[in-house]
This record gives sequence, structure tokens and C-alpha cells, in this order.
Amino acid sequence: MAKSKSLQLAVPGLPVSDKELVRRAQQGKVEAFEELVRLYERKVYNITYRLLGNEEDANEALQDTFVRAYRSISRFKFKSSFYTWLYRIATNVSLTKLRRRKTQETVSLDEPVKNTDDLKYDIPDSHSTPEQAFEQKRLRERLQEALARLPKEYRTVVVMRDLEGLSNEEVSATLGITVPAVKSRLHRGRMALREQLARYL
Amino acid sequence: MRKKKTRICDCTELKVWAALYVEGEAPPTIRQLLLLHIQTCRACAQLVHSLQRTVDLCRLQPNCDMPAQAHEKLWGALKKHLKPKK
Repeated sequence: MAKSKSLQLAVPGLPVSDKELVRRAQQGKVEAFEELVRLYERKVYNITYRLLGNEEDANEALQDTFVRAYRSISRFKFKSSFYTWLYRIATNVSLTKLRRRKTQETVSLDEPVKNTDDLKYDIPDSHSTPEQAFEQKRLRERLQEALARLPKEYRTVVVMRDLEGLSNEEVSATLGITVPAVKSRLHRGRMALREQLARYL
Repeated sequence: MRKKKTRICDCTELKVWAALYVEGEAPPTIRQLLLLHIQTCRACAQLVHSLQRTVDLCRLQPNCDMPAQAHEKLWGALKKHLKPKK
């Protein structure tokens, strides 16, 4: 199915808009929904992986997100962009998964980071040496670990704002909280993350 | 007669303003006060510096690669659910 032909375009050479794809999907055109999946599967995987921190849970959340989106697409009212709506589903699915985790690891924000690897901060550079690339990879792993330790209210906002690049308003709309609440959680989340990464920065 | 002191922010205020500063939302006067403060307060200078680096680090993260397995599992799951309306 994944390799099936792309949706027949209304005007050859011009992409079909999300709105048009959603309308067609609402009319029962499976290939329109498949096109939406192709457009957004990577983005959705990103958010589920970053929120959940491991591939297995991210995969499940990815599947649940699109299945849920397919089942409820007839109720999509075009009040937001399709992606915002999809993003909200992915976030809710991921947060539900997080809540269900029996052995969720949470630590005090004041607890010092135990890992003492001497890891230097470096801005990713396309000309980096293999050693630098290795360091950057390790730093990414440290970041993912630090994110996983954040309380989920902070993690969600930090992931959406700083890793996914959403605006405060988009995060607010997605999570159903006010913009000042987004800003407050963002700052607290960043401060907590800073604490955990301090020795690597 | 007491000399009028130039206003300088304290460390507690700075923690609040640091949030605005890293967002690029600090008004010029606040920004100036913050920069003055961190010239003389090493702890706050480190705080602002590491907070800025933390944000930069997050923003510079490349997208994760979606494993081929995730793609296959997704389409496998969708196959069971996607049915055209008659």
C-alpha cells in the first residue's frame, strides 16, 4: 500500500491541497487519506518519538494516530489546518500512552545528572569530523534522555516549541491551554532541561 | 544626601527575565538591565548562557529518521482499517 501510486492530481503537476485531500477523504476516497498519511507520517513519527522516547511506543502511537484520524476525519470541520488537528491527535495519543506507563521514570528536577561523560556541546556542522559527529550523536542521546526525565507537562511543551518549531499559539491550540500557560511551562521545562544538561553545555 | 543608584536587577528578577531574553522578547530596557547584571554576576551569566545553549541545542536537532519498520507497520495497520465508502 505504501508504494501505491500517488493520488491522481486535479491538475497534473500541481499538488493537491490538504483541504482538498481531506474533502476527498471525507467522501470516502481512501487514496486521498493515503496521500495525507504519506505527507505527514514522518512528522507524526517525530512527535511521537520525541514525546515517548522509544521506537516501540512511537510506532504504536503513530499507527493509533492515523487510525484515529481516519475514523474521525468525517468530523473534521476545517476550523484549523489538517496538520494542527492531526498533531493534536498524535499528542493526545502519546500523552495517553505516557499516563499508562506503569514504570514511568520521573526524577526530581533538582536531582543532579549522574552521567559524568565529558561531552562537549557543539553546533551540528555538515563539515564536522567523525569525532565531532560522534559527539553530536551522543549529545542528541543525552538530550533525549533529559527530555524523557522531564515531567510530561513540560516535556510536551518543550518538544513542540523547541524541537518541532510550533509557535506558542499553535501549542496553545493543540494542548488546549492558554498562551501564558504555554510560556510558563516552556520556561520551567527549559530550566529543568538546562539543569540536566548543564555539565555538557 | 543619598546618591540615586542606577537600577540593577537582582538574581531573582533575572531568572524571570532570562525567559524573555532567550525568546528574544525582552524589551530593550530589560535586556539592558539583564546584560549589565550578567557582567558582574557570574552565576547569572552562566544561567543565561546555558539556558540559551539548551534552547539552541533543541532547535538544532535534526528530525529523527523514521525507521523503515515503522513505515511498514503503519501501512500494515492502515490496510486493515482503510475501506472505501460505497
